[in-house]
Amino acid sequence: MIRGPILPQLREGLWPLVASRLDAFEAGLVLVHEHVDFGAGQLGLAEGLLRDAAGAPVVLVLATEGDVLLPGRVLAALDFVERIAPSLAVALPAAGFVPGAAGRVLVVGTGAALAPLAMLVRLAPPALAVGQLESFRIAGAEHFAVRWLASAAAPPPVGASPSAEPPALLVPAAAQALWQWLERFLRRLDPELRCDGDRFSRRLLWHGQLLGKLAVQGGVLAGTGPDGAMVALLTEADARAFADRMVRKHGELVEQRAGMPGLGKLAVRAADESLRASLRSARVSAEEYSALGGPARHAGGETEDAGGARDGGRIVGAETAPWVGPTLRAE
Amino acid sequence: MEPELDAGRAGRGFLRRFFRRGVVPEPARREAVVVAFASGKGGTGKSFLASNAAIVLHQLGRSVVLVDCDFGLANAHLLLGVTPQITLQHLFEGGAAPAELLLPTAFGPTLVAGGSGIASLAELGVRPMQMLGRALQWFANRCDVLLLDCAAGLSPQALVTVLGAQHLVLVTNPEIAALTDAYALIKCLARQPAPPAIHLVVNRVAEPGFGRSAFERLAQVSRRFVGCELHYLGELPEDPAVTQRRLGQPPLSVSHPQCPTTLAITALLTELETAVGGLRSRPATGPSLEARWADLLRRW
Repeated sequence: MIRGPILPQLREGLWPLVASRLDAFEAGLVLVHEHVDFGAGQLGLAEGLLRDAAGAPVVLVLATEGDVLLPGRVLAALDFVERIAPSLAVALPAAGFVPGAAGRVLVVGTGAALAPLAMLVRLAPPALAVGQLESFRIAGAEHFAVRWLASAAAPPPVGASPSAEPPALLVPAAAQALWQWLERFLRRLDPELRCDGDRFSRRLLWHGQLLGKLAVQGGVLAGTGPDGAMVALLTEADARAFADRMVRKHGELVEQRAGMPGLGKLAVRAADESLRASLRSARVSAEEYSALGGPARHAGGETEDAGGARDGGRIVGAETAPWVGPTLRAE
Repeated sequence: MEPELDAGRAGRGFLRRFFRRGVVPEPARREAVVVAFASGKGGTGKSFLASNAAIVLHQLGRSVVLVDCDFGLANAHLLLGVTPQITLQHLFEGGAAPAELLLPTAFGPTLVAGGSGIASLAELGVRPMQMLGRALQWFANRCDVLLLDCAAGLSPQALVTVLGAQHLVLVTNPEIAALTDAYALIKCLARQPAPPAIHLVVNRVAEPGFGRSAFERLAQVSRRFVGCELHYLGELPEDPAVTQRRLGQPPLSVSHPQCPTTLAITALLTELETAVGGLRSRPATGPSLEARWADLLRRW
């Protein structure tokens, strides 16, 4: 059976999907107004005006197949944010923009619009981020991932490389000291701790297991424990309590891992383990096999390629489930 | 030791030495660099690489002994074009000393042949393995580089052979099956108190760069799940000159010294030499090969 594209190709179908999952593009993105017209005729139309977690305006433009006006619309949007964005806090007080914040333009499209998206990437103006939506299915449920095309303004893909440093967290001035303390603490906790995220959020992972999350929300640094409970980190005591939850969760995971067969340096570098026991431990788990690039098996018996989010895409719809680690990219 | 004091006074030097209480310095024990070639899976080109690496190292001026540790399924003698009369089987049966096992080849390296077609060799017990450990120590005391061509797959014998080496050249192919079996071996080694340094070679690479990609994938998984770091040696291309070779032909590094595969093997060895700090015998520090072997067999 030839399956058609899962993602809507027309603006009318694509916009509701994008508008309902703005967090897929960047943590803390909020829709302020739909259907923006900044007075440049047909070129002055954008799908939405957003506010990011730092309170800066973002103009969202959708790219669809056959939209010959897209480059012109994007240039007009860039001109708009360059001229007007710093004043939007006064012009739209209810929107909650931070006065003087510089704006950005975010262009999102599907594979059908790849040619115009690629053209925008080649132009590469600094305030432009270009993302391509790619769809996939897991256990029959459809998801889409955002693949950030090369752009200096785009946030680096989440989980693109476990060893890559995420961009600096844009923490409000009042929370800077707390964030710096947490950063130092997490580095000391375990060298195997990995942080990924964007400018407004962090996920703290240990061997693919979620320890907790940090995010900038409403101008406040907030921490979410592995149980999902979010607390505002306003004082040093809040930060220490959050750190304590991380330590406890880390300890649990270390103990669990030490009890699992076939794990290396944590568990058993014991000279008294027999060689035959070592050999028995050498079985490759499903997770490891999948990480090596083998096909994953889902409930229901379907075999699918586990590399659904290739090229550093960010998986949508899996935020509430325990993170099992990024699927390695195929080169 | 006291030549000036005792010159012309025969016997005095002997008495002085007999009664002295100080430590008499002995010549430093030198031991070869011991490199095992292994793969989790058969058919990756491990023996091909080991035999050609032995030849290239010899051409670079090293004294090399290649030991075919693929007990019962040995094939290094076929690759090097020799017909051994004495193999490791004779050692295990008590019919040969280590020196008798050394078989010079026309291409330079010295071969110690395993036995082929002998099922009992594939499941050696502790005692034969002890004899092998002593023999390997004897070889290591007398050459620059001791290469161990290990059996494919995971067995206690293969594991001891790999762990007895200081360095492991792990040979894999870019396909998922080979990578998985290579990772299984890595996983096993990561549990050991003193595993060898692991250097990865990706063989039969269809396009340049695919080897690096496979390495990155395997290295990432190894680091993430078992905390084991790998070192990338390089890749060997899918080369018709290799796959179309027939028995009786000279080894590739002899018949085609400038072909891409031979040049790649030379590059791998250069990288290996840099990584290990030289492929020559060196003063032995730490436990000897025989001592390491004995420790491993205690955990049999």
